[in-house]
Amino acid sequence: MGIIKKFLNDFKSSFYLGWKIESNWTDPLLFLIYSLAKPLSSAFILIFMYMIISQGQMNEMLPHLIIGNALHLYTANVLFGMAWTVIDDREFYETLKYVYISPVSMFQFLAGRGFAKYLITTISSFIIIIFGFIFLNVRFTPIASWYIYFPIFLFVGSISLFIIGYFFAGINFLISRQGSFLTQSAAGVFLLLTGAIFPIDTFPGFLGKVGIYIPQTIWIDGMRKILLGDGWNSFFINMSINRMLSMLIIENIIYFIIIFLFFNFSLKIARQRGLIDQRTMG
Amino acid sequence: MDDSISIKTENLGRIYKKERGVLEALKNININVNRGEIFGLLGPNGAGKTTLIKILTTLLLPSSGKAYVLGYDVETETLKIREKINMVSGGEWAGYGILTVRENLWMFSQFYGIPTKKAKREIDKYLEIFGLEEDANTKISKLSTGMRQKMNIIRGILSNPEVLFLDEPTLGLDVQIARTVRSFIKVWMKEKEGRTILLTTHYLNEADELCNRIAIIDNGEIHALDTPQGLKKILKNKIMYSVELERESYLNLKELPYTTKFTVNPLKDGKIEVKFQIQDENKIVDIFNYLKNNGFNLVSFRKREPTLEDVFIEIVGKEFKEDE
Amino acid sequence: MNKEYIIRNLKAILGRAYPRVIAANREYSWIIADIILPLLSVIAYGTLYKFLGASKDFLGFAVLGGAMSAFWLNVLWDMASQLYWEKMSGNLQLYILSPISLVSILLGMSIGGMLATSLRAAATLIVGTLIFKLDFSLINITQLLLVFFLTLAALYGLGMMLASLYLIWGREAWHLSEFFQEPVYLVSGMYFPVKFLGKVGFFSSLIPLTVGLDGLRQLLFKEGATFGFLSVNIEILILIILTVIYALLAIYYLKKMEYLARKEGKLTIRWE
Repeated sequence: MGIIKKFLNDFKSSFYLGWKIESNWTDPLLFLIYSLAKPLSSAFILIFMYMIISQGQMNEMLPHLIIGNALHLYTANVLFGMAWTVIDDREFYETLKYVYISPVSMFQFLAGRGFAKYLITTISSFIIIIFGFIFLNVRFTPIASWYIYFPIFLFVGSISLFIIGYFFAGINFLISRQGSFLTQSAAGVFLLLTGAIFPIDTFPGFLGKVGIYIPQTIWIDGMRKILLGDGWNSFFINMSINRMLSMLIIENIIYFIIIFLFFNFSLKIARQRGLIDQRTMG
Repeated sequence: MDDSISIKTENLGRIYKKERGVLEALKNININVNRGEIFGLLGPNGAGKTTLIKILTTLLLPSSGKAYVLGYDVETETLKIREKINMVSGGEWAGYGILTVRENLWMFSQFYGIPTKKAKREIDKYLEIFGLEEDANTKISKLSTGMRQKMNIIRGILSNPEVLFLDEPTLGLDVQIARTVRSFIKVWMKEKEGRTILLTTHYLNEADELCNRIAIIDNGEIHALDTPQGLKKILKNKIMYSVELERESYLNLKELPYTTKFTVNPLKDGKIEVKFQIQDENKIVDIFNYLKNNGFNLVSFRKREPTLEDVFIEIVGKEFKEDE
Repeated sequence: MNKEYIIRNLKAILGRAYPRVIAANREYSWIIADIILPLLSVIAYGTLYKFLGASKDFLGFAVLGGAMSAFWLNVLWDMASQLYWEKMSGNLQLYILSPISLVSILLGMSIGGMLATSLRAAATLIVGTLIFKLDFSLINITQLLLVFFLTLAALYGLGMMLASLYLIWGREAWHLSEFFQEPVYLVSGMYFPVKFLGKVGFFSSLIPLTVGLDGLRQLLFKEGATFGFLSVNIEILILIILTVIYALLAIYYLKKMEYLARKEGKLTIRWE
């Protein structure tokens, strides 16, 4: 119980810090506008692209696009948020070394910071879906017992976000500030390979299969299946939601083991090479 | 303005707006700094030293009063001032980590229009003087604090300024490097007539060693301005003693009768050093008896000349902590 | 403004461009980060068009938009935000202390950054062309070069103006750059012809990228003219006007913001 209490305590502190950093620079209204402008803009780009080509004809592709985009936001923001915490706290605030030598585990610390991003992203994603519902006539045709599958799938998929976030955070412990663009650009990789805005089988051959092994792909298509009745990646079309959930859990476990080991290895190497408090900004 | 004066302020004031109320960082500052002198500004953190330097270096506007550097108004003639001054701050991290020492210095020299050939010559000369020639091609992100500060000082003098502002230049440096910096300052001043340095510091020995005149500043006001010797003469009628005492760890010295002022500094092994002033030297035995009766054992004592620290305490009314 | 002052500022431009050029040659991670990985986003949008059954020219629009986005990001992050970052590192006060204009510092930054940005843009265009097998129809090379260089001139003028505004807004600078990034992609028609935004396009024409991109599309693709917002000649005229306006505003606001920063004392306070 002591361990759980400490975990929750550490998590709560780092979440509070993350929330303050994200939101404390301006008043609540401006913060809301700022939080919505970016994701809504990227959603609208996709919607406009879609509407131009389909010449305003709404069909079953639009809801898939909207849900895919709404969920991809989580991938981009949580991944980047956790990874960028390392750079920001190390180079700008110069507090990473103090966190490192404190009893707070870096693991919990990053989870808390990532969770702050997760919550902020939830607002944006929710708004995108509501917008689609009100203005674009996007209608949900959920499966039976969606109310059971939705929270479970959301939870399990969300875990995969943090797992991937740890991977990039681990990388950032080892590289300079300039190399952090790797993390920023990684969102592009996920956009491409997870079927967020088009089915992964749009790509020929091997590329079309890579996405199956990324948890976010299963997550996004599983959520589509739950809310719309079906996904749009051919690999998952005939797969039951239970099977998709099992796949997601297994992939999460595998990734977690590998990335957990990698993360600890990165910390060890960073400590060995004196990179915990390196300053590459000036 | 008189040509023999480098810096002049007339009722200079600066106010900062805070969330609640205002902070008066400078209040009616009137100083004249002569050409060719090293002028020291001594004071604790928050005294107003850096605010004054920022106004004089045109980084900050005064809220009231006037300031002139080399005869030019800091508010309206900034370009003329900037051509003739430079500034080096303690703990400075300016520059680009990706560039080497030589490259950083060259880059800054270009902002003063120094021809590249001349800049390279001067850079090489100063790198040698400061013992940095082996690190000339090291990226500055790899430099230690001391090496970085040496590079900063070279940056400051490369443009051959008529007035050099040094804002705590030896802050955080080890004894050896601080000594090197101070030696260089003296040499640099002698090299060319008419150079002026305005130095802020809260290292008393540094001010004592380097400055022709010192202004003691606290809470935005100048409390005294004179040569170091002149300042110490303020205490000519005060007899200063310094005693080293042994005590039990729970004992604290809260009062000391017959003294006008006293300070307590902890030493190693539980000992303490007490410095005090008395007006009647006959009372010294009574003081020793008082200490003994209150559990303090006398280890050593000596009579001493007033230091700048004593002057500071006398003028400002509080102890000057060098690690403040 | 005498001859000595002009020469000093020219040297300052070169001096400030130097770190940017050197960084490109010493930290090779930008090749991966700034060229290969951003291509993935462009490929994503191009693939979406392909999936939706769009014509090849639309894929070209997306690829060209992605290429030009490199300049917008350079303007936002390496120009507009730059003085704020310089304040953080302590360089800003040294620049202001120097007997030069801040305009020279900003120009030096932009020229220095141009190398990496141009390479990124070119790489995006070349790889995108190869992947999607694009066909270009070069309508008028003179107009094309004019549109391209005027777009850059106006864009960087806008960047310099933003730099002065960021200077006083402080910590919000980073968030402002974040804020302007995606919405500008949307309203400037980065991945689709701005014509489809209707009247919004007139307002977004204040962003040089909007008319610049539209002009480039009309001059490079067969369907460009069909989906063009305004005629190329009008767009060239708009770009000239924007270049002049932003340049003048940049100079005005840089002076004004330096004065305000000196008055409020924010030039050297790190956390503001």
